[in-house]
Amino acid sequence: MRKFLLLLCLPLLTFGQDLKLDHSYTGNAPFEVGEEIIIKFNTLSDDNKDVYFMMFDYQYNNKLLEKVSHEFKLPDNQSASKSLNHWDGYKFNVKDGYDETDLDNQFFYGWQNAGNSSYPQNADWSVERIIVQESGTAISHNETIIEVKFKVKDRQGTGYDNYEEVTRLNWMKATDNTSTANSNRYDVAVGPGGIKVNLDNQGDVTGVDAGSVTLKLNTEAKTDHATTFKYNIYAADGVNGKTGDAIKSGNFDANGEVITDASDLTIGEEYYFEILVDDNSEWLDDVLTVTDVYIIFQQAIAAANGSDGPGGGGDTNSFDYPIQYLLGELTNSGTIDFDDSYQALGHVQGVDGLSEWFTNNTNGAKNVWGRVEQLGVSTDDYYFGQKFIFKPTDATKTFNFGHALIGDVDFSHGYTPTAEGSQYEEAQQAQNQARYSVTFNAMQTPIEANLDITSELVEGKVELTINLAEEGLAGAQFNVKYDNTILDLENAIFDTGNEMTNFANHREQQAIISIGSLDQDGDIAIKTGNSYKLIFNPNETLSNTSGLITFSFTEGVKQDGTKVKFNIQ
Amino acid sequence: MKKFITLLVILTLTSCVRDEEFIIDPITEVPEALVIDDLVGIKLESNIVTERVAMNVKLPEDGVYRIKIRHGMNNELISQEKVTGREGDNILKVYVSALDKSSFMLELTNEFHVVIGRTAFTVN
Repeated sequence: MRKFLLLLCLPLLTFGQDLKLDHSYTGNAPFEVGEEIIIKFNTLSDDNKDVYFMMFDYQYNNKLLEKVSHEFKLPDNQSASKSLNHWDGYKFNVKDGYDETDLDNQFFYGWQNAGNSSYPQNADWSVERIIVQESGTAISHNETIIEVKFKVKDRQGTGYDNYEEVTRLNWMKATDNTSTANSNRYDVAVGPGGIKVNLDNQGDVTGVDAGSVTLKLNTEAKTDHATTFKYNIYAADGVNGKTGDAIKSGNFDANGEVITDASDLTIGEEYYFEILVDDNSEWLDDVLTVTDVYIIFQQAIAAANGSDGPGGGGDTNSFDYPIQYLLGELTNSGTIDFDDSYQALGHVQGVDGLSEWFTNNTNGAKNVWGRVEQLGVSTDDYYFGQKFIFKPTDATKTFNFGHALIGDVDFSHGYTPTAEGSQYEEAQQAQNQARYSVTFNAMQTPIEANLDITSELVEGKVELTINLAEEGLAGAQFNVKYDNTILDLENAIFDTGNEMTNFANHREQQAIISIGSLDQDGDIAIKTGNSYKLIFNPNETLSNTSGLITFSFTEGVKQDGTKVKFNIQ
Repeated sequence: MKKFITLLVILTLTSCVRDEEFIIDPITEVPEALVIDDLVGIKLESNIVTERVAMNVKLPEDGVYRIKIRHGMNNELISQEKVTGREGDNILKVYVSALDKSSFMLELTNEFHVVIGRTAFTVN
């Protein structure tokens, strides 16, 4: 029986150690960049072996830690001899065939007998060798041998993604007081602190610079107006809020991107991203167009009739995307009805005193934005999916934000939601089945239609004639700009059909005239031919009219909602 | 006396001839900067313009033509005039106050959009 037990315990005896070398940090994690930490070293006895001589190497990552100082402790061995040597630019090469935690064999085979292969050069690491020798009293186990103080460095730009290995034990030789010969060395293993110190084991080190973070703007409007978009970055507050002053502000670049400087943001921190449009941008008056008016009217009609709208999604719905309820809410009443559609119509007609809640030159931009992964999908935390928060990590430093504008229900100047659930399921089916949907049609590639717009000198007056060739237009809008130092608008003449609703919005200060028509029900079409004529009086004698009138914007909408891009010949 | 009467009669007869038979087509004075050597074309007095600039539109025959202004980058048509011109040089103007400060293409076509000439200009 004894033999059996001996046989059973033989492996334990064979692989048992005499002592262990341990090292660990003191203080409370998680740590912060710039904070000073202490790494302490001590031995643990496995077999009550008396140690009179010890020599060990450890290494630290000098990209992650900056050594501040060291102090030998050894409270029970004040008379011991001790030394510390330091080398920069080397990293221990663990000896194959021996476990890395087998510190005495790593000493013997990995360093002592490994020649110049034991410490290849490596700029990221520094090595320290500690020697303690006692003559009269054994070096106490469990007592702190040495404390080394480091400052935690910012790992941004170092190539390291974490602080999971800032120090590492390389090898150790320990002997009793009879001889320091290698043959007399104790078996040394690694203590419970492990072979390496992991500063992230109680939570990631904080305060790490995020490096360059890219924040991308997604909107149709960025093609022509990217640099008129502005941004502010704040510290996040709660799930979707902000706090304090802006950390960083500015304009998007020509690509519609913000690229932060390396130290602007901190890794692992949450930020609130705000997207705005410069309120002085002249293009804001062109956001809400005749197509938007038509779509909002269809929704108002659907809501009033209580009938199933073309886009599906409910008995009183004609929209394809839930977020259109936010974008079409021009009166801020909480619902979309004829008040909203007439506000929209009033805008293209140039009516004064309209609602302050939608985008135009008077009101400025009414911004809607959020992370594209969420935008358009409402939750308790994110109103219409407007998630403003981003959190840079080592793995993710690029974030996409969608932007839209109140009034722009056809997304012609905004981002069409792509998040799962951002589109009504019935609308998706309707698209697949090519069923009628005003929004769906409006968002398809516009059809092209020829248009002839010419200015001409007629009996001393300047006439601008718009000749429509496209049939089936429920609406059309033309913005023309004129030289008001020479011309005064005298009259606008319509020949669009007896029942068509026409408009001519004259913005005198900007010298812009918006002229067009819209049948809100989509029942009748604009009469083709010379549908519109503007007559100007010149204040000087002219020989011709070149350049006096320019076309800044044209758009048409068919009765089924299809947008028409006019090809001016 | 006979000679005097004869002269008077000749003068009287001459003065009764219809005017148009003596009309000569007016020759347009073309400033040197606007002279076009080719048979047709379009030319500006200056290609850098601040408010307005003279141009010569040299046409192959009398008729209706179009003078188009296109954006200098995307070629989008942003202004178009219909003008009735005479064969040869026609001195006209381009007004640029309603244009953005940018580069443009000035294009001369016939009534049916067939291009006759092009030139570029910049609004400063």
